[in-house]
Amino acid sequence: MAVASAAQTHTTPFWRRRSFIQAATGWLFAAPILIYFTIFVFGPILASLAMMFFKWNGFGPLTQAEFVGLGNVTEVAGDEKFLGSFRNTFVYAIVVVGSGVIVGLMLALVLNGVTKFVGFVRSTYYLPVMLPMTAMALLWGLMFQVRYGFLNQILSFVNIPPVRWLINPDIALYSISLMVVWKGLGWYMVIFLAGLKAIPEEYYEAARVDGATGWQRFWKITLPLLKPTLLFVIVVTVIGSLQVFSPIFIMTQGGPANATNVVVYWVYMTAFQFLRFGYATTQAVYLFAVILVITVIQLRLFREGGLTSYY
Amino acid sequence: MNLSRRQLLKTMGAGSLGLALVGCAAPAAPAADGGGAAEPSAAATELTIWFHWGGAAGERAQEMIDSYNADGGAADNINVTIETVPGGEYRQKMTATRMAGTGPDTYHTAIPILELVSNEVALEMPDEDQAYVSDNYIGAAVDRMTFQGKIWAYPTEHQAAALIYRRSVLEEEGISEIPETMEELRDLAKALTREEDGIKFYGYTFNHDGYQPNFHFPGIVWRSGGELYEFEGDIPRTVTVNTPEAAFGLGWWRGMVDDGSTQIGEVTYNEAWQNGLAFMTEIEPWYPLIVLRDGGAEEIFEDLGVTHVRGRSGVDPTIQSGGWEILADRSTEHPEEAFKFIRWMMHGPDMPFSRFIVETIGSLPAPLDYPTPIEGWSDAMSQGYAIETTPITRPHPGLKALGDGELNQAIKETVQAVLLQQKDVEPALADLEPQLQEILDRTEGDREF
Repeated sequence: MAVASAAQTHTTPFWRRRSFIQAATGWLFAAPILIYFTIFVFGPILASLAMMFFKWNGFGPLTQAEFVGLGNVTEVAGDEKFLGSFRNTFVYAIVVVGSGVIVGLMLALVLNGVTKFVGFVRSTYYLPVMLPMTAMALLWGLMFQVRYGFLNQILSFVNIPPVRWLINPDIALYSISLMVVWKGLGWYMVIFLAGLKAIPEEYYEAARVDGATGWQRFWKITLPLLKPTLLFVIVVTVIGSLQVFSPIFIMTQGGPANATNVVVYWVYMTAFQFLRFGYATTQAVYLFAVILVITVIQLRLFREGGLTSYY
Repeated sequence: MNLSRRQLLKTMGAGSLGLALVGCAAPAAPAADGGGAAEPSAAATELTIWFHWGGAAGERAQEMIDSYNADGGAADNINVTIETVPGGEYRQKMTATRMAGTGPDTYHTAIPILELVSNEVALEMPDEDQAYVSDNYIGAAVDRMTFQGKIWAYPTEHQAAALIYRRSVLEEEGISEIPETMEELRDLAKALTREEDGIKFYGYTFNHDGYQPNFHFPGIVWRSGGELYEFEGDIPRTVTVNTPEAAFGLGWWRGMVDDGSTQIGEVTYNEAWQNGLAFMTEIEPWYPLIVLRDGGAEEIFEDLGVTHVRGRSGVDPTIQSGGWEILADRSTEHPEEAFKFIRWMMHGPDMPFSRFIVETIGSLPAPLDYPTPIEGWSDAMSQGYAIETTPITRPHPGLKALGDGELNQAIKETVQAVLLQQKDVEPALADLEPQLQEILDRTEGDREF
């Protein structure tokens, strides 16, 4: 019998064998997404990596592209404006992520205890998240106006002189960060609320029985058990913050006097205004490398803090 | 219904084949009843042109092209279709469509001629068109269209700033004429600046964050007796902004800030004008037409006086100009028809495209025989822009530089830093000069005259 089966296996063409059909079925189902990724993701990535070694203005024929070896790579490393844009981006990321996490967590803790109008209150806070960034940036641009802006009108009621929100190079980046934190607060809140709901109530009851104060319960129970949520929020928002573009493009165009010039905006300028596609691609690859390193560090830090036990 | 894996594969394979056949099938034949009555005849040459306008301007542009299709186009058996492309996306779309072989036949674009020629976009104009432009357009516009001794396009917008002011405000102060020099103008701005009931009125206004810091900078240096670059033939080689003349010009702008005569961010430029808080400024003609007349500030529009910009004592006033042009693509399959179409739009006496641009969009008239007063403009605008300013224009020098975008950015950052009182004038210009020189050296490189 076994011999007969073996003989059959040898005589059956490979395309009629079960193993082939199973594999082919799998590949067939995966084919659309693989084709999509090959054309629209892997292709551009490879093209970008190749473009790093060329000088091309993105406008003329590709035959005009000139091979420059590592010229772009070394030039970007010493480009003061590019490095300046990195400094601004890091400041922005620290402010936005730090404020968003702290305020979002506080908000979630408060709303976690709300029992009436829960849906309404949460929806209200979440509303700005659903609004388009372009519209919000334009609206906040009006609110930031020095003389007639809403924020300075409010400040005038308490005799605070007008603030030059987007005009003063020393505060323009923080003003934009304020808008972005406000807009994203609902998202932080929802994620943290989900994390808080996942913490078993029994832990708190046991702590209360043991006489733990609210502060102690927060530090010893809530925060440690929120670590997976915190990791998710921080990793995602750090990556998003390092890629900030829209509010800068709409509200300040990198100004005043370069004070809000961030990396992605500068990459855009380099490619589409300065027509240096190879150089801009190199800048983008640098940004990718930085994001990759930061993300790996974040994952390691949290893992060392005991995160893996929750996954 | 249960399908075996094999049946499923067969079904999917057959489906894919069917879809592929449908996709590859020839398009359906047109309806036999001639449902496309508006369609051109089979023999008509189809041309495309890229415009960037939407809204009311877009509708007016469509009317113009419809008029061509019914008139000159019908006579020459040419049918033109507009493709609307946002101005900021021209370069990318040009690259993509030309690579795909679907580029337009003609463009209306603001991309400098130098770039269009260097990147093999512009089709060389026939001799008769070059001669027409040379003979019928003002010198600055012809200069802007010229590269390597040839004229590559018809100039359309010819944008340059003039001095606009509120006549009634000056009359209240007993001033009947605008002073003749930059120095006196600064004094006047200071005198006109005032605060009433907690509201500040500005003698002069600047836009520190728009296109003006970089676009207006060369003009202000010229009017102060300086130059931005030294040219070798067509090519800018040496930067000359760290000079007393340039310092005077930039210092004049900064002086207005130090005097408190201008707004830098307290209110936006548009708000200052639309709310009657501003009394003088330098701006191109599109501004009073679109922002004031069409923007709900008709009273202010009617009150505007317009005259040419002023120079430093002893220096002739000169103003930078830029703008758009119309040209044929090098890869068009219908070059003769493309130029027939362009001639219909640009040649006098009708010059429908020039009239559309000047009267609707608002630009200085570039054709020499453009009739004045200009329809739809106030008499003051016709006088100040068309008659006084047109002859004193020079093309913006950045239009002759391959690194225009980078040069503009560096200039903008410097002017902003000075106007925001972050840097003093002389050190700022001393920092700027090597930056510009590095860009010129890198971008112009071994380009030969």
